[in-house]
Amino acid sequence: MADDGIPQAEDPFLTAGELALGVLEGSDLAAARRSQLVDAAFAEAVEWWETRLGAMGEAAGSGVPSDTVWQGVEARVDALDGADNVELPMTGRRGPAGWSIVTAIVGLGAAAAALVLFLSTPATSPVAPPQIASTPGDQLVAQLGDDETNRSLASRIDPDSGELRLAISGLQADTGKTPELWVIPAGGAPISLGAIPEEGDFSRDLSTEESALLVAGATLAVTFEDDTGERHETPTMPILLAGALAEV
Amino acid sequence: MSEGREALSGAIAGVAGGDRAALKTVYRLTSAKLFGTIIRIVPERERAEDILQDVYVKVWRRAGRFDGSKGSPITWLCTIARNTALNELRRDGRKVEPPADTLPEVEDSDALPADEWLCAMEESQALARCLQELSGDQRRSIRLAFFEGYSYSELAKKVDVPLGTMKSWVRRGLAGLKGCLGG
Repeated sequence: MADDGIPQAEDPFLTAGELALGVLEGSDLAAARRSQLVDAAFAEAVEWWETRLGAMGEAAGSGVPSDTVWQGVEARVDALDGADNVELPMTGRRGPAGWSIVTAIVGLGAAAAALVLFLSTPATSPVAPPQIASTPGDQLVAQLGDDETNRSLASRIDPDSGELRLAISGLQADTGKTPELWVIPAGGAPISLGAIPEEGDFSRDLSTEESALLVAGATLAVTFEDDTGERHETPTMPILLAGALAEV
Repeated sequence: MSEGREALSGAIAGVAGGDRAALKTVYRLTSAKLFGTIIRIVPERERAEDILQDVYVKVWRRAGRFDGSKGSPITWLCTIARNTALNELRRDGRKVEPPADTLPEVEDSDALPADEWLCAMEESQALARCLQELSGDQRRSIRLAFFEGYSYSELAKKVDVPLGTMKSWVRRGLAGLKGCLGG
């Protein structure tokens, strides 16, 4: 405890409580979200708090939503079910000629240069290893960060449930642009995983094809792309963030 | 387990199995409650309804992850609703301030919820008892953060105390709850 008598957030269990309560902001929030994704014990503590504090929510009032809400839910669930049956057109393809090491290196920042080197020499990857908790398990995590721009993305993939979870910070794009997530299989070409939010938590189910690509040793990367609502064939430079997936 | 809670758990299990009718049952049983949770945090009807939609799409995808041994089904649903609303708030900001008179509503209200049949009464009562053991400032700050979705700096501004004081109240309150609830 510090001199001012404030219990410091050094106790991760209390930090988990602060995250569950929703009071954290800025870099504290980003750090806690990253911990939630890469530290199983911390994630469990957040769940503990959510369940305990959630009981308070039962005293909240209720309201009557419009009928259109249910119609919207049905339409979106229909769309989801339909999407599950559509094959990813890009899956399994090799890289287009445009994705060469020479073109990629020109004008890139450190993260992207590291990524390109990683692609060319995967056995001696200069990409910083993800800072992961030492809890054994079969989940995959990658921590992508750039101290200069304060952009960060922590990702966790649960192969059992086939879910991708992201904690995103500082990826604000210009009007008409959106952050897009890519997976680069070891020695392969980038394949889009679609647009992601600029900030906050995000999760979605992975298709079978996507899950097959998201394995230890593959690299995740983020670029800004035109917000067309569709996945792009090739990434637009610069690569904003890049990092390798590792098992925890 | 109450009849309502059992029905809701059963419906969530149905959703996990891909049963669309079960999703409608979950919606019918809980949409008013979840809408109430969301609109406290995002007090704009249209925006709150969009979030409510997001929540049930998440429920459709995640129902298989509900574990009845860890908590009640309504708490699980309320947590998804609350987190989705908080994410929306953090992303797009608070466009409309909740009316100032909402403060007393969340203060120390021990009134039983109207849809009591849904609730995990044991958990609610344990939490209510532990909250009562906190100081008034700690209790009110935690309630205000929970119900209105305020961050530390928003709470400090709302209650008009220094940020450090607010952090102290909340952290001490959480530490008290941790001890009381056996964390």
